[in-house]
Amino acid sequence: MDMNLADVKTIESQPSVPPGTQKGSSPDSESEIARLRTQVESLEKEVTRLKTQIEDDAIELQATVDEFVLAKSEVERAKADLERANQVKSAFLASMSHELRTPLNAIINFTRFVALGVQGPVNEKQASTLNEVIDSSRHLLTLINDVLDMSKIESGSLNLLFDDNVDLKPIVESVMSTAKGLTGEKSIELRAKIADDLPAIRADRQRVFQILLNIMSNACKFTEKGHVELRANRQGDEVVFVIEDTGVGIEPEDQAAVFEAFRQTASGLRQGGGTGLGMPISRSLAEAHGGRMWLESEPKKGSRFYVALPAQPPDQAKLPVTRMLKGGSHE
Amino acid sequence: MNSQPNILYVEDEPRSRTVMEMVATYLELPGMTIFEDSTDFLARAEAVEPRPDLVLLDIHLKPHNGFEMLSMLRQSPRFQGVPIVAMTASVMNEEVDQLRTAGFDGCLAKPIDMMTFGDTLDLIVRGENVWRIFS
Repeated sequence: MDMNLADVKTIESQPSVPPGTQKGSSPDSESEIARLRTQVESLEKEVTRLKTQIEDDAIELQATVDEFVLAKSEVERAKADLERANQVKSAFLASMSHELRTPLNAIINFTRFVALGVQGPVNEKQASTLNEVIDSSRHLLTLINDVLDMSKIESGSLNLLFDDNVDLKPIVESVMSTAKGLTGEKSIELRAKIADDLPAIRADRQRVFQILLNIMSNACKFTEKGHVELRANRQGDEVVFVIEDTGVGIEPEDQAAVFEAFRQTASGLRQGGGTGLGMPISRSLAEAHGGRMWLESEPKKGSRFYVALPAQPPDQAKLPVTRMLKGGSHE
Repeated sequence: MNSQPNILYVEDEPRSRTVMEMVATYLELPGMTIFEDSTDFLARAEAVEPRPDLVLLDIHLKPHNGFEMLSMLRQSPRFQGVPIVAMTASVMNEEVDQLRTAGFDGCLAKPIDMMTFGDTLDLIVRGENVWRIFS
């Protein structure tokens, strides 16, 4: 501090006292000394004040640092809790899937066995009732799968099982034969137009089937008469599927909601019979392939749903990372 | 269906066993052997006559789970080239990944479809890997 004061004095005195003009005890120099003393005193006060302020700031800063350290450990604890909760959720969903599917295996197949007449003759009415049980059970299975798939998508843990050179024609044929059972009593013409030059792609067969069947069954649900047509073409680097129906169509203001989970449109809810998760799941599955899904629709005329999947093998880096496999199995 | 394979099925859940007995009746399968648990699994499997053309394994059972039974069969000279397929209701993504990584030749998800089961068996016996997860 002394050093600093000396510096101040030197600086202050230099301009006002040129060399060779200094005198021992002139009134001028006495007043100058008094002036400097006052200045020094005021500077000392200022320094004391600043020192106190720095000490206060240091205490405050330490408090902030302590708070930060505490907050950091809280965040770390919350992160660990979240990871644990996610693991519990995954295990719960896996066990739900198992616990719900096991009784459905018995319900569907026991009913089928009776309906087939293996245990004795079944009349037409009884067979039809038993087939209703089977259809309802299959519907329940779809709903269970949808809810479980959606929770996988929401938690970002949807994994695809990719194969190279997947031939799309048998998948489309299989979708069409399954869709035949979805039209019920309605007079809808189901047709497929598959281009001859459709390339084999890198894809998850079951998921491509799921995407197309979801859209087909949606189209059949909302179409009373006319046609539902599935077309598959190559367009540049993509294979594009178009599912066209002559159904109720979708109001422009409802079109975005079609792809939002848990937000069925007003007419969708009126028609009932679904979780409203089919289209959001299908779009997520298309995107997980590196592809896209969108729609065009005119109310009362019909809708066109488009799915574009890359014809070339998708860049692995852009796709969801397969999670590390956990060892063992759950009970 | 054409192949009429002899099948070994391991399943601890009684109703799933009944389903498979019904399938065997409906499809008129000549040889269907069902184990209710996996005690002494390898010794019992190797004693099954005639040799199974196809093994279906449930995954969650005791004392050995499906993965353990798979590795026992893979080390048995008698079961070389015999397709070993998981038959389980646990088919969330990572569970199917585990089955693939472990080296199963396929997976049939429960509920199975009695109407298409014969065709599925034909495919498996012909050596195709069948991953029927959404039924």
